[in-house]
Amino acid sequence: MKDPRTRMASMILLSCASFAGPKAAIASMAWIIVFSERRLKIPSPWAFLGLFIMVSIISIISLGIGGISYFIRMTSLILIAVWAYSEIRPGEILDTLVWFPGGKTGFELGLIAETAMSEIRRIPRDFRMTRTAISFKGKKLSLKEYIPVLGNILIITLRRADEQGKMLAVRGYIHGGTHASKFDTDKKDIIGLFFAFATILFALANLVTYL
Amino acid sequence: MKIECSEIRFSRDGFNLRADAEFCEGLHVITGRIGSGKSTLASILAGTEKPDTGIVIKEGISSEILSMQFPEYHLTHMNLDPEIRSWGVDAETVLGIAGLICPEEKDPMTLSRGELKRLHLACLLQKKYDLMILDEPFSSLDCIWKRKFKDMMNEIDEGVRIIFTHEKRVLPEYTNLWTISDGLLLRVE
Repeated sequence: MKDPRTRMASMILLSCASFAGPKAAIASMAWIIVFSERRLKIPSPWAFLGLFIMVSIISIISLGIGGISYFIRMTSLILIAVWAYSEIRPGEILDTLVWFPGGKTGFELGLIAETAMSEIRRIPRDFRMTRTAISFKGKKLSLKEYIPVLGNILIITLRRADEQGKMLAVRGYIHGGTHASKFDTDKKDIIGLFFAFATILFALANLVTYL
Repeated sequence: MKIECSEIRFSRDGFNLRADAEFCEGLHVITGRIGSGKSTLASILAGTEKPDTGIVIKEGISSEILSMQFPEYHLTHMNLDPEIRSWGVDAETVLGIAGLICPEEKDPMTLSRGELKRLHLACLLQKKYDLMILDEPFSSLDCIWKRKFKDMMNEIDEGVRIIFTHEKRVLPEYTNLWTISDGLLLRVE
C-alpha cells in the first residue's frame, strides 16, 4: 500500500475489529498477511518477541476466563502495530494530518508525531550503542543494569526532543504551518481499504449476533 | 602491537568509505569534516560495525576501548560512585581529575554534557589499554579542559591510540596525522 491515508484508515479499522472479537482478529491477521509488503521484516524482533511472550503469559494465566480470546486479539493488535510501524515512512504522518484535519491543528499534530516517530526509530541504535559501551567495560548487560540503561535512553530521547523543540522556537515557530501533502494511490490501496471495511463490518455483525 | 585495516570498504545510502592503513604503537589523529565517516571508521576499527569488504587485523592487542562521541552511552549506573567503580577505578581520584565537586550518589544523567565528558575521559584515562579508539574526545569541552586532557593523553606512552576529531587547535602530540577526504582515508605527510 502506497497511500498513507488508506494505510492509517486500515490500521484504525483493523485495530477496532481485532479488539471486538477473536474471529475479526483472525480476519485482521489474514488481512495483514495479504496486504503487508514487509511480512518477514519485523523492525525489532526482540521487542516483538517480548510483547508476544508477555501476552502469552497473561493468556495462560487467564485460561478459562477468555485467555484464548485475549491471546488472539492481542496477537492481532501486535501484528497490526508492527505492520503499521514498519511500513510508515518519514513525513507520511505529517502529510496525512495536514490533509486531515488541516494546516493548523493537523500540522502541529503531524509535527509532534513525526518528532516522536524519529525518536522511536533512534531507540534501537541508542540501545546498541549502550550495549557496545557495556561490552567495552568488560561486562554483559544483566537484568540489574537494564533499568538504569533504559532510563538513560529515555532521558537521552527526551533531551533530544527538548532540544528539537527549543530549536523550532528559536527559529520562530509558534503554531501551525504550510505543507503541501502529496499522495500516491494505487489499486492495492483501494482494495486494502475495502477489505479493512469488510473486516470491521464482519466484527460488528459478530457483535450484533452476540447481543 | 598494531591494528591494520586491509581493503576496508563500507557503503550506506550513497556514502562510501575506503580505508587501507596500519596503525602502529603511538598516537594517531584522524581528522575530517563532519559526516566524512570518522565515527563509522572508529566503529569498524573497534569491531562494532562490519565493513562490506576487507578485514581489521589486530596484533598483540589484549585490551581495547572505544570512547563514543556521546558520553551518555557509556553510563550504566544511576549514581556516580557505582558508575565510576564500573570502570574499575577509584571514584575519589576520578572526581578530582574531572573537577567534579558533587556527592557520589548523584545521578550522572543530571550532569551537563561537558561534565559527563570530563567524567568519562577521567575514567578512561585512569586505565591502561593496548588499543584506545577515541571518537571526538574533545567535543563538549571548553579550551581549559581540552588542554588538560590533551596533556593527560601526552603522558600515555604505551599502546595504539587513535583519536578521531575535527578539532584542529588543541591536539595531543601525534605520531601520524590522517585525514578522511571524499570517503578515503589518507595519511598526511
